[in-house]
Amino acid sequence: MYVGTGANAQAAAQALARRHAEREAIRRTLHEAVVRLQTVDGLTTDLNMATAVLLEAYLLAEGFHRHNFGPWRRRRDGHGR
Amino acid sequence: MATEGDEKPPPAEVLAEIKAVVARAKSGDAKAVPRLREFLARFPLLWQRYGDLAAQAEVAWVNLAAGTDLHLKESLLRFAAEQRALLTRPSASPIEKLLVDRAVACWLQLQYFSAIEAGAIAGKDAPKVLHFWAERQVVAQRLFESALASLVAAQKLLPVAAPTCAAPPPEHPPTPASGSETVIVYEDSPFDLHNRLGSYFNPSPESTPPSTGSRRVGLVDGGHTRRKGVRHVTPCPADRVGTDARPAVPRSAGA
Repeated sequence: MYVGTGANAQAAAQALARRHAEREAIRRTLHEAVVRLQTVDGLTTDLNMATAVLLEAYLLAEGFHRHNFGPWRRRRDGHGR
Repeated sequence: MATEGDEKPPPAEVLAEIKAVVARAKSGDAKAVPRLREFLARFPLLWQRYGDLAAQAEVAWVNLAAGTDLHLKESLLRFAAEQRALLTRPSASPIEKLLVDRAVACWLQLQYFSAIEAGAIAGKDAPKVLHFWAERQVVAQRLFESALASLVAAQKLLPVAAPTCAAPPPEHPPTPASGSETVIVYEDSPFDLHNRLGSYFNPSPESTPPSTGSRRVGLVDGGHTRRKGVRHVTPCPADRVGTDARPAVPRSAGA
């Protein structure tokens, strides 16, 4: 970016470059964090999803039900057994 | 080929071959699969650890949090094991054990992000970085709460296996003394259930109020308690039994 000539322009150009470097460092830091967490995040997500599905299937098989994501209740009339 | 698996880890010379076969299988080489199956059948430890998603997640979070600090790694592993033991009921079902493992993994995740966020604040990181870690911490907190809620719901709804020595069945409520005027009639009272009205329908003999002449008749049917009614029985003189007990008021009295 052209900021002109002279001492003020030099200072502005240096400040601009410093801000660009800071932004680049932040971007790199966040990218490294995301890459570092990618594997373990995937494992945790898989674990959460698998556990939720298993629990839901188990409770349904045991005769429980829930309405609109409410609390699980046992069917009193024996349906679902 | 050994069909029965060894509980021991494979020896060093076999381990090198296993690593090579696993590397081939991971790269998609179908020819490596028969040999890989042989190894998995021979050493169940391989698939038991690698196939356990919860254990993998736990170890991954511990490694991430501890880094090269082996002391912290060992401490975290021991703490996770203790948490697992505390949360698991004796003779818990496999689904409950899985939920406990998930809760422990989510707890490790939450601790990791809390520590990272604290470090970022202390290190005066850029606001954008702080925001990133704070968001991750919030998500981890939500996951941990969800995992705990699932575990508590499962522990509440699913009974554990019956112990080997069974406890004696709950006794029926003591029938009141024959001379008492308060007569309570029960049918199949569910005293094993937590009923906040239980003390009302099951008064102990010493807490029975002195006779007031009231006669309560209750009927308990399949967990639903219905009071048939409260009849007040006023003791009458013997000579007035069978007659109108109301005092006679002369018709002319109100006129």
